Amino acid sequence: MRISKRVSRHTQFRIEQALFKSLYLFCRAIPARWVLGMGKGVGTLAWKLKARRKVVLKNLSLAFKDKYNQSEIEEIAFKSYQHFGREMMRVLILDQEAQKPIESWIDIKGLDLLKNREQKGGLLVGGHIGCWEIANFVLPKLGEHVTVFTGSHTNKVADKWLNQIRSRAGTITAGAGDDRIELFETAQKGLVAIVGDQAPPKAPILIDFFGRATDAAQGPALLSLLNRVDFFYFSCLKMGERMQVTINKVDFEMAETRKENVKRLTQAYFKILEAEIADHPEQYFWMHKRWKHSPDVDYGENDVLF
Amino acid sequence: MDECLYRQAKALVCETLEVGEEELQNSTHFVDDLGIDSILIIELKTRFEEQYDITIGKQVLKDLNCLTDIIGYLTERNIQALLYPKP
Repeated sequence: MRISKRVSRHTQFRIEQALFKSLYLFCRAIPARWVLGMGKGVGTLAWKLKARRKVVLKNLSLAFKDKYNQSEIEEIAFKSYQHFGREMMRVLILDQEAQKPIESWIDIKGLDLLKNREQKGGLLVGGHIGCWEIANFVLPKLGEHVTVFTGSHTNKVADKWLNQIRSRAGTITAGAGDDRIELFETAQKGLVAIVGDQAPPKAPILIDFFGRATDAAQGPALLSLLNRVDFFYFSCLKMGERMQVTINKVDFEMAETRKENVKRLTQAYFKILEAEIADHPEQYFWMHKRWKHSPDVDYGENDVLF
Repeated sequence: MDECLYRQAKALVCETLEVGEEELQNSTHFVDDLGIDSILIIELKTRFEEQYDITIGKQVLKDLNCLTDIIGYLTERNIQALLYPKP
């Protein structure tokens, strides 16, 4: 988002960098619970300022029109703003959070599935639900070599900072600009983690998501099928004061063509994601225009902010 | 253009990308027109390397976007059509 047309993109990046750095240093000087509390406050403020509120409410209505009424949808939306405000701020202290003993705040389900996989390689695919940055550093701490495919932000400076924090937390990252051949080969030698639930810019396939034909990326399923490595769904959800990391092996009935297999595998992991979202709707990232390519979905005019 | 090489290359592309020969014109863009994910282009690279016993550099890969590009690349490298299908 541009601040103003009078401000060049370079200047804006520098302003953002300065703000980010100040916030980062400030957050390191205060207790973690204050940082997270401040994040919750930022989420509340964003809700009150109606930042992307139309998009969030539209997405929730599309997903849950038969399950919740309008006031319940607004309640979920409000809680999701607070959740993401808190989790965004947690990223700034991710390396500090990573120092805490895992067992003191994180429960892990399904680690045996990962440990017992037949090949060294594998795909770990998750969605924008809960606290995915935590899942990214927990597995390396448990002895798994995981490369996290982060994609890249338009602001390279923020990207670099974010990746430095991730790196200090123990996460190995690869960006969208990185060589895809290397990513392909990495999935043969170790685990590649991808948060792959957003609308892809190119080459989508159509799957069912909340009863609606939805664009999905083929990449994760292709990486698994072409490399003949297992495909796992992973997530990290906030459960009261603790975190719950869950790993599921995604199975599906093999078809005759790879195209159909890509579709079935992608559909299978989206079904797991959908079930998690249905149980914890306030922890999903509703701010993305998930159904922007659907001909029958109109998000209308943008909100004043973002 | 070597007609035999053209036919072999087209068949290999169609088989790898799982598209019908009628769908694949010379200038059909793999990603933009056929909706092929770029990961699958890596598989295409592997198949051509195996078929013609060559190594295709990473830098070249991003320029191979349609059948014409592939034929041009093979011709430039003086690749000959296989006389016998590989077992």
